Amino acid sequence: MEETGMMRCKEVATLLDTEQVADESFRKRFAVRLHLMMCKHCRRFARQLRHLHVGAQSMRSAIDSEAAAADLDQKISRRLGLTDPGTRE
Amino acid sequence: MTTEAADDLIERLRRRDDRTLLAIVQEHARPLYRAARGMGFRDQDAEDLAQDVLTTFIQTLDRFEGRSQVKTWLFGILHHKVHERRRTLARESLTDSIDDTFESRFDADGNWVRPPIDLERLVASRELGIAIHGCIEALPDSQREVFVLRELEELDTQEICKILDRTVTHVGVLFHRARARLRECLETQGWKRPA
Repeated sequence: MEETGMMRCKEVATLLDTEQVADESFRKRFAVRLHLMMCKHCRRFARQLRHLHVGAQSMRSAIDSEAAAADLDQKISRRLGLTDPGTRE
Repeated sequence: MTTEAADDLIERLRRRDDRTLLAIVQEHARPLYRAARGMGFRDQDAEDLAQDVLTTFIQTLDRFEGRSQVKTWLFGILHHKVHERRRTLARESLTDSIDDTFESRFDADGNWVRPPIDLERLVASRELGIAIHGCIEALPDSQREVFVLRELEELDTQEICKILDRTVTHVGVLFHRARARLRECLETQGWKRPA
């Protein structure tokens, strides 16, 4: 448990989690930064949020590879009767 | 997009210009497929959904007035198609046990009593993506949809609100619950720093 004497961990974690930090006043944003400098647990929490994004992007790449392998864009275009005029015979 | 460019796009869409429609299909088929896969549909079902959304878009072009981006409009159609297939739109609980789980990690003064676990070991590896893919299965549909739109598709909150026809506050709550549930899942699956 970290005692920073300023913002509480729960308030910082909630602001980070709901992505509301950017909407806060300069003073509040500064207080969040200061808290993060002093609190290793909240820094870890912030890292967890970044890890979720990294993981989601990794998932995105895996699905993209799957779509590319299935030639998805071309397949759906053909099924909808849409072909590039440049490739028509 | 400028007003002139938007008007030009709408005009080309209204006369069903092949080249414009083809460009739209080729730009958006994959994101639609990706979102459907993220929301839990199998590959063939996700492909059918993406095609179904684009077919509906083309059939109902006259309703598209350009007040939102094509992408937002398409994801709105996807949202409705997903719920048609799941038939679970009606009821959504106002309370969620994950809120209590989040609360329980702090004491009455708002300090951590159960601090986050370091997931550093998984960064820069496919493992984290695979782990999240597993954990996402346990999310309630509405939370999963918001997480996919925000973190996979990187849509902003305003776009997500339009797509789901929900308030900023509601989307914020769903996103918070999704992330809290995923963090808990990753921690309990044993993704801990090696001793």
